[in-house]
Amino acid sequence: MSQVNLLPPDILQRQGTRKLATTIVVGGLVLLGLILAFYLLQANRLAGVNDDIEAQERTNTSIEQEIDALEPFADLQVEADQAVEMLRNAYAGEMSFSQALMDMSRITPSDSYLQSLAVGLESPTVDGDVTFVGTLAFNAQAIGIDTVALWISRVEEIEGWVNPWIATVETTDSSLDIRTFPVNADLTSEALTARGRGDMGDTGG
Amino acid sequence: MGSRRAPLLAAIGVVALALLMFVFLVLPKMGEVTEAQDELSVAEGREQTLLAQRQALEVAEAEAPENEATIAEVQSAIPEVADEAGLMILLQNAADTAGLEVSQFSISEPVFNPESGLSAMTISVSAEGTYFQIADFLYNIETLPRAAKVLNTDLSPSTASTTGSPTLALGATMEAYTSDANPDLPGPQTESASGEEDE
Repeated sequence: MSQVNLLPPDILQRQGTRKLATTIVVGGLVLLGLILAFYLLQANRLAGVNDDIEAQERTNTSIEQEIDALEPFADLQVEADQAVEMLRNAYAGEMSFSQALMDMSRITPSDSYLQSLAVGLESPTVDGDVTFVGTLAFNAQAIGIDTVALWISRVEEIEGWVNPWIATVETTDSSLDIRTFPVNADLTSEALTARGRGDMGDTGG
Repeated sequence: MGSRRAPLLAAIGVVALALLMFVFLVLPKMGEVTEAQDELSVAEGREQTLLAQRQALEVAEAEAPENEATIAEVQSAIPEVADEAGLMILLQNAADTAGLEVSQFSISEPVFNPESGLSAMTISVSAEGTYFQIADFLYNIETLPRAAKVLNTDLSPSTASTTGSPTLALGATMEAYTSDANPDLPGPQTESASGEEDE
């Protein structure tokens, strides 16, 4: 059996419109509710982040206080570094003259002797890979030209002693073949002590 | 006619209200959250920096005894004042230990070198002794508790040679140091104090 709607069409239309308006209003309220819920979620999140910031700031303040308490040790470290630097400056370019004398004694041939010796440091000059730091000069006497030659070849065996040169060899006594000669040599940075080259070893770690 | 427009008006009203709420409530709050998160990131980053700083300071704390010893050692090697008297005694002891006969010591007034931050005193020594006594003396100078550096030596036959090992005359120049940046003023002066003095 079929149903027949006996409502007039204008009332039916008004009912449809009211239903649609109600649906829109309800949908709108739901939307506004969702927006409000999202807002509250954001507000809650903000409060959480602010709490985290506060906690972080407290942690940072605590670390800063520890740092302040440790600051004198940093000053001490700086002072120690400056002290080592000062010592490095003091010993810069140092050569062991006692070692130079021992080396000279070691290379002197047995049938010869030293008459005079001058060792001096100068302002370093660089020539290629080599840094010259001073000069060495000595006068000596030896029996026979072989001894003279031996001596000059031995000079170069010493680390940092380079360019030995004999300008003249004079025969002082021809019957004994005694020769007198001056030797000049250059000193390079290899002749310097470790601390003279800036290595302060254990001082200040 | 009016009732037909009601749903449309309701829809417009709802959308407008939703937009207003989103723009004036939600968006600012979201902005605040982003700002707060940035602030938190900065604070967390600062914590890392502070932790690294604290770690470095803890190392410095552990090394404090060593650093104190270094400072004391350097202050002994390079005193804050020239201490000429102490230096003379050290030089004489170095010569006596080596058995060297010193005929003359001369110590110049300290001269400040801004490059090294030190004041240097030039010491000239004239002495007589055997070759190995001279070597010993130079070794004693090189191992003095006070920082000293030999600059040059000149050995020549001595006129007063005796029997046994030949005696040599030694002429040597060396340097000793003080950290006093202005030796003309009494007491120790720091480099900065000296600078102010100059100005």
